[in-house]
Amino acid sequence: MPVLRSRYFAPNKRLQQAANGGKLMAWGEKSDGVAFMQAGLRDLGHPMPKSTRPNGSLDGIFGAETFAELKKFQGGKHLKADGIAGPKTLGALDLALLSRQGNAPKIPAKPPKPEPKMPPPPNVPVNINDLNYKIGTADPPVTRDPGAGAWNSKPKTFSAMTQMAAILTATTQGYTNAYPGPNATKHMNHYFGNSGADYTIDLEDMIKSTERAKKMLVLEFRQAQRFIQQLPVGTHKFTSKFAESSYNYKGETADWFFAIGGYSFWGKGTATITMVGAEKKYDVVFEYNFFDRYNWDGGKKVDIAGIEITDEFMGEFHRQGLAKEFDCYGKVTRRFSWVGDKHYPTNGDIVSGPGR
Amino acid sequence: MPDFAIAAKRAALLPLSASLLLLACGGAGNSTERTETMNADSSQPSQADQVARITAAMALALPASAHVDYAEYIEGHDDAARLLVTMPQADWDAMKAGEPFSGIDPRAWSTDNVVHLGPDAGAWRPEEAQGVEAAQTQIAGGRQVLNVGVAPPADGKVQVYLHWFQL
Repeated sequence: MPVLRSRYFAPNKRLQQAANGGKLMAWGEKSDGVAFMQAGLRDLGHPMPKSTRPNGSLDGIFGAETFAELKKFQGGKHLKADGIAGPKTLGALDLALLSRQGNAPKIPAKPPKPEPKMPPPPNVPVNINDLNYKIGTADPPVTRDPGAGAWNSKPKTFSAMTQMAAILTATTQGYTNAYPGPNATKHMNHYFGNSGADYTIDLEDMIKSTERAKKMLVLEFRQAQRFIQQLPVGTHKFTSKFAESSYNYKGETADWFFAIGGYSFWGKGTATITMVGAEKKYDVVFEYNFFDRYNWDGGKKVDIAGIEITDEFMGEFHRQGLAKEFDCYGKVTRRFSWVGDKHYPTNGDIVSGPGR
Repeated sequence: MPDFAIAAKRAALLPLSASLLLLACGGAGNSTERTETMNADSSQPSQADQVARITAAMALALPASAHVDYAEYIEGHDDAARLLVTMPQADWDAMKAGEPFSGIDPRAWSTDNVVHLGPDAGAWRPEEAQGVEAAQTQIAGGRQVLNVGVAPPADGKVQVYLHWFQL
């Protein structure tokens, strides 16, 4: 870590902090440290007319001009030209200033007042090799189980129609006894509704009533949080690189065991990151997404109203065009704001969603 | 019988081959129970088949040295299975080097992922165990999921949690 010795940088705590491995100085920061850095850049031949006040002092706002001139300086020194001031960049600036050691820089008498809003940096590259998240908006791919085969591919039989009527009667007459819960019943009825239309599940209820689903939501948010905390100041769209999967155990929730079983999930959202003093402020809209294909594809069996019913049996309704498999979707949204990297949403906040 | 669970308690650690033999020679259980939990040393004839069914579903071949600590197969809207085995570290290393585990990003092995292994049942208590690192991978063209968790080695052996389910 460099020791800053120029008369520009040596007295300033913020610059010393950044040069010693502390928080990097980047777009959006407003501080006297930025003012000293601007002064150094200016005096090293990087004109900063927009950042220079009429009295010749620097405004201390790390904006487009500072960003561009810092990148030019970095490029000239064969440093990574990312417009972010860390130990290497500040060390190089300090050395350059030491070599000229002219007049002391003209800086503002006190730190500038923060402005209410800063526009995001233009085309700031985010090159973070995170395992779980990336910049973007695209949903990760999910696999649709082929299910029972082609819909309406076999002739309807009287036997199948009679059996379907019996199941519907059983599941719609007191599901708490006949079938394990309202959601399982709704999903079954949508299957027999025979439209094949997409179905939006009550994901909030699944999370509320299923311990495993709570843990998956927390796991997904924490993965997103770790990614977000690596991002620079600005507004970023983020999304999961791949979907993960979980399973509703009957011991945790009979309703959702029969309604869904295994399913896929992923996160995405928007993070707006600004500087509050020396710390980042995170304003995050996080979407937790769900997908499952409701199908009966063979090899499984369930107990409905005391009758053992196999996948083959249920899939036959689909093949005879009496019922139709469908895609299940779900989404819950959480909004959080926090400052710094030590205080962030608790597991309870994530599950209950105080900001919804 | 929507749920069918077989649990071989850790207290009766047996080599896989012996476990299968005992499972094959055991007495019949109560077929009317919706969930059955059985010991490896008092098992049903179908238990050997169930253990074989689990490994077949997971598309895994366990080493002969593996001891079955817990086994469970659940039939439902989507099926699921769990298998807890103890084996020498070297055997696990060899197993991990093969499919499907070799495709897991090394960074994915994390204690955070232990929640993927599901709720406690019998000897299956991954969230109570210390330091279980878990990861998830997809099999069968993405239509099935295999979670795996590994406890820190003790006496040259590791306990491996295998958790499979359909989507």
